[in-house]
Amino acid sequence: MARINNDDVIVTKAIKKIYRDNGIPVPALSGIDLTIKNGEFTAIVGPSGSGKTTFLNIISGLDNPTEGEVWLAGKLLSSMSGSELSDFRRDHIGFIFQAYNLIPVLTVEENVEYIMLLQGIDKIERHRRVEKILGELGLEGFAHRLPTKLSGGQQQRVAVARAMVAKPSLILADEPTANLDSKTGAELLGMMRELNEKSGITFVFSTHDRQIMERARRLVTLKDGLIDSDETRS
Amino acid sequence: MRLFIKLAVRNLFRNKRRTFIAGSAIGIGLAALIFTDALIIGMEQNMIASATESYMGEGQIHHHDFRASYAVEETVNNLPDVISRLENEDMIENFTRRTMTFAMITSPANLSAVSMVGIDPATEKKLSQIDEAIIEGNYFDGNNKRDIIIGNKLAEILEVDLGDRVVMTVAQAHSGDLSQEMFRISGIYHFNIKAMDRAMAFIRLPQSQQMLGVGDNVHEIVMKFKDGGNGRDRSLPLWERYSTDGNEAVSWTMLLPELDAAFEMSQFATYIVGLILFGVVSLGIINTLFMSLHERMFEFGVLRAVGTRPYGMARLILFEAGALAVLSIVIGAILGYIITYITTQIGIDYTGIEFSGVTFRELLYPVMTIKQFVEYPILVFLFTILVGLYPAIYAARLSPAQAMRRSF
Amino acid sequence: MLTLRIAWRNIFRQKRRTVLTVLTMFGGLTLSSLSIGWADGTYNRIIEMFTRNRLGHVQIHARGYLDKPSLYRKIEDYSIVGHTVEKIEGVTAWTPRLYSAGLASVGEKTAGVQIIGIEPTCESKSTHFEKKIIKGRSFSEAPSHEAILGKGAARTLHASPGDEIVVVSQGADGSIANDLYEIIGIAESGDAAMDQSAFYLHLSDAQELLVLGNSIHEMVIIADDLDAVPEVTERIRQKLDDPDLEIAPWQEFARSFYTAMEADKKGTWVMLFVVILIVAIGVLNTVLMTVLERTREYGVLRAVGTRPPQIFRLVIAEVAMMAAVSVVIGIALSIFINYMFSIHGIPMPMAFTYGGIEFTHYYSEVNAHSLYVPAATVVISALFISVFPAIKAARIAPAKALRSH
Repeated sequence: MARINNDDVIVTKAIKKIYRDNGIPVPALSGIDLTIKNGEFTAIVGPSGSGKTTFLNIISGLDNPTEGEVWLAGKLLSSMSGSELSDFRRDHIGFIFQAYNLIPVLTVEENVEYIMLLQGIDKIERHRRVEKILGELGLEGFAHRLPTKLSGGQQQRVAVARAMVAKPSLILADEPTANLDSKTGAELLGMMRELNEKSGITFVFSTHDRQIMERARRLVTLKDGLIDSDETRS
Repeated sequence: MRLFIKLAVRNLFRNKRRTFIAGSAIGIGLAALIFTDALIIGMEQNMIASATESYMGEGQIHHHDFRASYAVEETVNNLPDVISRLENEDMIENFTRRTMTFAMITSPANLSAVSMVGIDPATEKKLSQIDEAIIEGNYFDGNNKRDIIIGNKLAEILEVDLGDRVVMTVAQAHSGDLSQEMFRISGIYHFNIKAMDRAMAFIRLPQSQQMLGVGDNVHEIVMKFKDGGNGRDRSLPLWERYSTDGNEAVSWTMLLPELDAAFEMSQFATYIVGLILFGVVSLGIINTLFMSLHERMFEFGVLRAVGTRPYGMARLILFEAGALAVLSIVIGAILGYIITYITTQIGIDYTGIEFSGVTFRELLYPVMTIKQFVEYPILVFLFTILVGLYPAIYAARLSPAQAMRRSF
Repeated sequence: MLTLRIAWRNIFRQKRRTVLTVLTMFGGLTLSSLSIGWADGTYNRIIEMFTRNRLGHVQIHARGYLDKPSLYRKIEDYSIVGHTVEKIEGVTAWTPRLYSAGLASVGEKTAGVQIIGIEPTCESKSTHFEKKIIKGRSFSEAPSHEAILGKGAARTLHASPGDEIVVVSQGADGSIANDLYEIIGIAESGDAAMDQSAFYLHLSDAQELLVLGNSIHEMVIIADDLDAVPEVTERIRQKLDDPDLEIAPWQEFARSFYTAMEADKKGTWVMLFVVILIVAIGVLNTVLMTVLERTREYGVLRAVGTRPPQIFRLVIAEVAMMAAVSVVIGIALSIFINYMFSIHGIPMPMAFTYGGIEFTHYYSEVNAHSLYVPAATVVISALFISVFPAIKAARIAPAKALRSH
């Protein structure tokens, strides 16, 4: 909803994250400084265990860093309470997970409009936006279907629709194509690229899908909890 | 808000079998509550009727010392005044007068100590069921002043039959002299209440007054109200109004204090048992809600991630608890109704059994009331929601990252 | 025993679920155990007291007396009967009694009374009669025309120890019986109704008054042990072997109480049934869910060669262990609570009188009955209900199971 007029969507300073696995400390992130600007289409890559998912969780406020600070859309995440973070995520971030994005007992329409309900948007406006986004993503007529009756690719598209429809500042996608075959994955990626160019919403991926890495305009590689490389292409 | 309700209901039916099984547990608890309550009310009504309608009436007036001493001299004070007031009393449907004394009754074969009661057959008939309990002979037909009616057990003990002679010996008022009269058995009754069948003998009021030397006085006035509830009400002003001039007016609850206390105890015991029972039920509810929660861990993580507040998560679980409650209440109410209804058709046979001084004379039937189908379901509903707080708070406290990590 | 080891560790996987299930079984067990302990405790105490203090455990009468008491249905030569009885195994004491009705006067006051002839020494040994005296003293050993009145009777007659009392009745030979006695004491048995008309005489004086020679109406027998009463009754019957005598245990002469008690106990059984049902449902849900969750796991087990009966045993073993834990805690707790309540009772809102004794508290009792019945029921029903999900688990087809989740 609210687009802060600050060009830096994400700013992280010296992010460290250490997990305790039965008393044994496991360092997941060992000092990340990263800035992501408005409108980027960026992929965070790295082998399993390099900390990609952890990093995504931290910059979205789903998890706290052991050390370091995160600013999202200009606000310091550590300064917000649990409820404030909830509301903040609601208003500023769209999430797309690898699988199980949707509530299985809600229809496509109900799933997509969920966040707008949390935001208190009225019925007519909700309906209008849902229709619009479903159209843009090639899901006309799917409004009343249950997720169990959708293919993997369709489910992910609905996830995209839900992520977009509340007009967030940023969309975080954690391995969105991992469960799809390459053709469907490519289609999905294409749609997201289009949305990024048309609406200017920032996309940040965590992935080791080659197709995403090729289409991303910026590639940040993590290794052993630190940034290994940071390439920007045009 | 409406979406949450939709969500809750649909979530509940994701695993129909589990939901139904959990609902049944709660439902059975509710049904048990309903049936037990109905049974207790039925028991209460049955016993009260048995006591008051057979002989005791709903209220009695005596000389204030009479109940403790049974002295012949202690007759009701200011009798004419009391009677005229009673006749003008709106609430009272009927009343009758009795003399009551210890007496010795002898037959050729045996002797026994009894309570000799002088009654006015016409008015007595409207208050007690002696006339209906007659199994041999008649209830003071005709005019013979030597008529006497006794219980079948007493007749057996004395080895007498209709028409046989017995002698009653009593002590007279004031002088203490003994007075003896001969009577002929004109009727034998059977109440199926030990005390009545074995230890009472009824004669006509004028005869007893003469024998006892009490003139026109009596020992006891028995009353019946138009509204049965009045008998139960100890705070009724009527009791005070007639407890003047050295008299005492009491409701049957004072005459059968054990019965009253026994009912309170039953109610209390039911609450305790119900509480513990639902304690056990609550464990099942918690288990069910948690199991359904664990199944959806990742989903919960997603809901939190996209911005649902902790409070919203708690609300979701509470709505599920509520939906479960509604389902269970329906099951329980139907089950409770069926069981209670069937019992009202067949009844429970407790006849002859004595409890707190009162004997069951009729089959015991449970009594269904609105309260059982409104108050108890509401309590169960609130209870389920209360119990749901535990998983609800747990859900609210889930951090999205935790929830999503936990599932793989 | 690998099954047991796996089963044991399995139940700790889902701690909360295990705890809740154990609590459910334990709750049902304890509730049942407390109810039974309660009912048994209170009733046994009531029975113990009214039999010990007044009515005795076993009574002997002339045949037909219980049903139709009569002055003429008497036991002749009671001392012979008494001596035979006291030698029987299980008998602690016996005492003879005689009953009739009469009218008694003190001064100008008259009241109907129940004449009760008692033998002071025997009566003391059996029912501690001397403890019931609230004013004055108990009888002299030899008959001395002494009388003791019940509390209510004394009040009606305005009588006190030292007063003279005249009693009129009918003798066994048909003559008018009357005589004069000195009131030496007032007794309170606890049963106000009875005390209202009780007039105690020394047995010999009573026999003289009523021209009964050496007969009595009732012999009250105290047994060593309440539970042994049926056996003792049988032994007495066999030893005495007299068709003219009727030997009845308390269950017969206190029949109204006995039937009421049995009816009440039946009600308790019904409640127990409901509790067990609810516990079974709780266990069913848990086990079903667990089996469902572990479908994949069972698939793996089957794939590597575990046979269906072994899977079945695994599921059952888990339930059995949870049941065992709840039984142990449940029995421990209920023994504790029942024991506490057997020492200190819970006060009743209103005293309850039976058989001449006033009861003011509810007591509980620790007995085998209150332990093994609930424990067995909970365990058996839990295992029984788990058979269904266990069979389901055993029937899982490995390939299908491996594909799920």
